[in-house]
Amino acid sequence: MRRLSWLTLALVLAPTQVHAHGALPGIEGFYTGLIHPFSEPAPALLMLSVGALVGSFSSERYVWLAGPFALAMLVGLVFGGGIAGIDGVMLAVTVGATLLVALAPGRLFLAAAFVVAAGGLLIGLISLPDPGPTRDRVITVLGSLVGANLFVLYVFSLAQVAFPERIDAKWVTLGLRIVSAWMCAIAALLLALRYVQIEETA
Amino acid sequence: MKSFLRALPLGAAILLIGLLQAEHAFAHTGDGFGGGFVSGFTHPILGWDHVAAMVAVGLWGAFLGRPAIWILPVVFPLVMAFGAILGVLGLPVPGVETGIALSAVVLGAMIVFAAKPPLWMAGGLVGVFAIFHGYAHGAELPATADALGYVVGFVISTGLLHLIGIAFGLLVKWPGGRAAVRGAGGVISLAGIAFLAGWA
Repeated sequence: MRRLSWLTLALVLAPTQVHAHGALPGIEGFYTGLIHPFSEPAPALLMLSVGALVGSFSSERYVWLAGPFALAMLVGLVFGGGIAGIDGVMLAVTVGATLLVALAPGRLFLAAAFVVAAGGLLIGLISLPDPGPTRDRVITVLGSLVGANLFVLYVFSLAQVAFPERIDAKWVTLGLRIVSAWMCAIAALLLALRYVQIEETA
Repeated sequence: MKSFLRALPLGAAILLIGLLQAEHAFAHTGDGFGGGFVSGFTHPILGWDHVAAMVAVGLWGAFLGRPAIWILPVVFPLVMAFGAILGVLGLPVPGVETGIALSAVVLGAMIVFAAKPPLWMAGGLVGVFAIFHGYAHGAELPATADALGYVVGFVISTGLLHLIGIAFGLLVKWPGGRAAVRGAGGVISLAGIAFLAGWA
């Protein structure tokens, strides 16, 4: 144990050059796509709210919520491009998703499925990269698909599996409701602010 | 525990080396997201009228018991956001400062007298006051450097003040704690009167 400690210390202290590199050609584009849904406030809030909404339902419902999200995202990617005012729509969907979690967690399944699908569509619409080589665009799109869908799965797993193993499930639901109420307030205010800014510039 | 103690010297050594290493200081101007966040986070904390009312919501929730204790912190931010939107849009809401001061007086009195109205009435009362508090935050929002940071900051700060009130309010389970919580309600109510009279 002591030898291992000294070895660890020596490794920590050893000055070495950092060789930053892309291990695979084009992998940078994949990572860019991976984090793209979280690169701006509006899509990041939307992703969080969709994750919380999916996480408020039981495991049996996961496929019926995550499936429409993935499909709608694919549709969005097909029809994607620069759409004016999409940030406002994303914030509005965020308000809808967080209201459902805060006021009726795990209930109103059809409304939740609709909101989740709308979220997927919007994330898909904003995830289409700018024109460029097809190969690079495909890699970036794959990154976005993986990033957004993994995030939804991750939040769902936290809410339905990881936390309930350690904390009483009712406390997890309560925490989800309180955080969703906070997110709803944030999204609603940003939406109002956008409206005021548009009015001022018009 | 033993493995923790054994790893302690190594951890201390690494910490010491880390502390002694010369690093660049990243001086910042306080604007951008960080500046907006700090500005928003401190807005409810630096206003004593806001602090008193937010803590009172949590304290009263503890007296009302379940489910009110947990419903109020969910409902309050939602209604507060509505009030803040009115503030952002510049729509007139009369008597905002009076409403904020009154919220401390009334909610404090509810705690002192251990009032237990029906949940809808308690939620409605808290909701009305939430509009005044939200309006005050929202009216200041457009002028801030970073709106997102400000909004995130003040929503989290408000929520944490509720949680402080709830944590303190949980003392009502014990007789001594019940007296302490009712006493705190009295202090909040008196502070509210001082805000109303312009003494504070």
